[in-house]
Amino acid sequence: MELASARHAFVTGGASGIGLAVADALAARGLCVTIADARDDLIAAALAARGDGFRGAVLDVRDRQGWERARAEAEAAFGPVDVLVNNAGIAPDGLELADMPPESFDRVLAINLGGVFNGIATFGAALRERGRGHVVNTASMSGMVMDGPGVGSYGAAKAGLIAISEVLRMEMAPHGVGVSVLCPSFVATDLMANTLRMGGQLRDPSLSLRAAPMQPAEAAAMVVRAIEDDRFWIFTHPERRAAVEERHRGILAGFDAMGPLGKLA
Amino acid sequence: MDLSKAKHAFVTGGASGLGLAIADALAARGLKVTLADIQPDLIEAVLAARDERYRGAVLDVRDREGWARAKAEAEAAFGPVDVLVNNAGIAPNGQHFADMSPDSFDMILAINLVGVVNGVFAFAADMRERGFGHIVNTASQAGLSVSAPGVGAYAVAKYGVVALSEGSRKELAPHGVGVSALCPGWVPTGLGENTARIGGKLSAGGHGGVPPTEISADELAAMVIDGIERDAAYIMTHKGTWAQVEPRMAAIREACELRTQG
Repeated sequence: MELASARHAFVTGGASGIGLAVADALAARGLCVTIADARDDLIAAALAARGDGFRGAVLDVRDRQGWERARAEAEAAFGPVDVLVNNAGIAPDGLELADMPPESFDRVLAINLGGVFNGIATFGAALRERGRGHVVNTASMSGMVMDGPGVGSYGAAKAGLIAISEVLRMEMAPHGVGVSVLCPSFVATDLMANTLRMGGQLRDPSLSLRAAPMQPAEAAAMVVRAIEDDRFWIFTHPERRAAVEERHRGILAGFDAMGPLGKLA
Repeated sequence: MDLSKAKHAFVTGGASGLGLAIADALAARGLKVTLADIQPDLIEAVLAARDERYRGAVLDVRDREGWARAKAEAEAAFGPVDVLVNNAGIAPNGQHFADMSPDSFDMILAINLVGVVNGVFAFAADMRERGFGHIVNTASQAGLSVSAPGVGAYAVAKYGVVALSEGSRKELAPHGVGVSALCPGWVPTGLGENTARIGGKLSAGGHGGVPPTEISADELAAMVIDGIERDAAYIMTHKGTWAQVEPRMAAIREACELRTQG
């Protein structure tokens, strides 16, 4: 979309990491930004260093009434939301599925997938009716490729999020609303610490992404470009391409293996 | 896996359609079969026409305690489960995301995605310990690409099932346990009727734009048996799926290249 005509962005997980970087990048383009986050302390810290163009909204993305409240307050202050960035998420617990407490799977799914559905349920109809806007969903390369053991719940949620994005794009395109899906690999954020604060578990709590080579601002710049160009896929880490291609080859091999039985089709 | 060494299969959504066809195909290979299904009347009707190699288990795949009970009873009768077929599922609701009721989204996710992982939670640790077993998860071609608006929640769940299958396959392969994602196109079964019977909403427009083909449930079950024996990661059944999957892969490749070029 043309960002010059956009006024208000609503960013979940907006008080740190990629969310905050996207919020800043959009503010730099002249948008007012609602920083929605589950953590009021982070919101307060972010707002203290920023101007009138920012407001905070304490929001647990699992809370559907909370979404309605946050939307009403945000739009009363800054007008209708033009850009929705569904970015809030937690990290996987690192356990293999055979060992995972079901509640841990549920938590990852509820925040990383259900939370995004809630954002779309809250803003989708209004964006469609106004005939303009853009939705960005923060998925992950883990939604494209299932990396080694211990990412089952996260990968399933992120794969589902990619599906939400693909379908939403088809549904919204005729109405002038764009959709992008962000598929990063490691970015220097506080994902691990935030996961613990949200009640999530980590097999290795000392894990940190702070040393990751990609800074949130780099990913945010790619997000803003994708919104402007109305590009769907946002891949940030070209070195992961080989893994994506390998997965695709595996799926295509499934067709090759159909053999005589497949001739039935 | 070597099916001749397998003794007991547990099949969800086992009392009709694809599940029943897979159950029959496994029974024909000498396995005892537990038909797990949410509809007791369907189980009863099926068992009435079959022999003592079959048992029934009334199971709502959303119910984790129900899984534990069904497993205990099934294994007391037929021994440890070697083959788990997570097949139960309901149909797309036909709604666009902007119009979808949260309850409808939740229901499809709970049955079609969480219901599958509940099966993994119930059986995978035992299979890993025994060093033997195979899990088939019924995904869909809608787990690999989306074909039309209105398949939203269904596609979300099925993408998730494919990802779960890939993830658990990596985790279980070192322990001699195989996992396959079954990705069929449309097959004539009682899916729509069963969806309505357990309270799901149905799309008016059919099958997400996917045209029906001539593959029957029995033909598809033969492909599943073949896939188990080959330890296939993906069991593809409809050549037409290719026409949907390939353009998606091409778009992803192009987007990756765009990034590579900066």
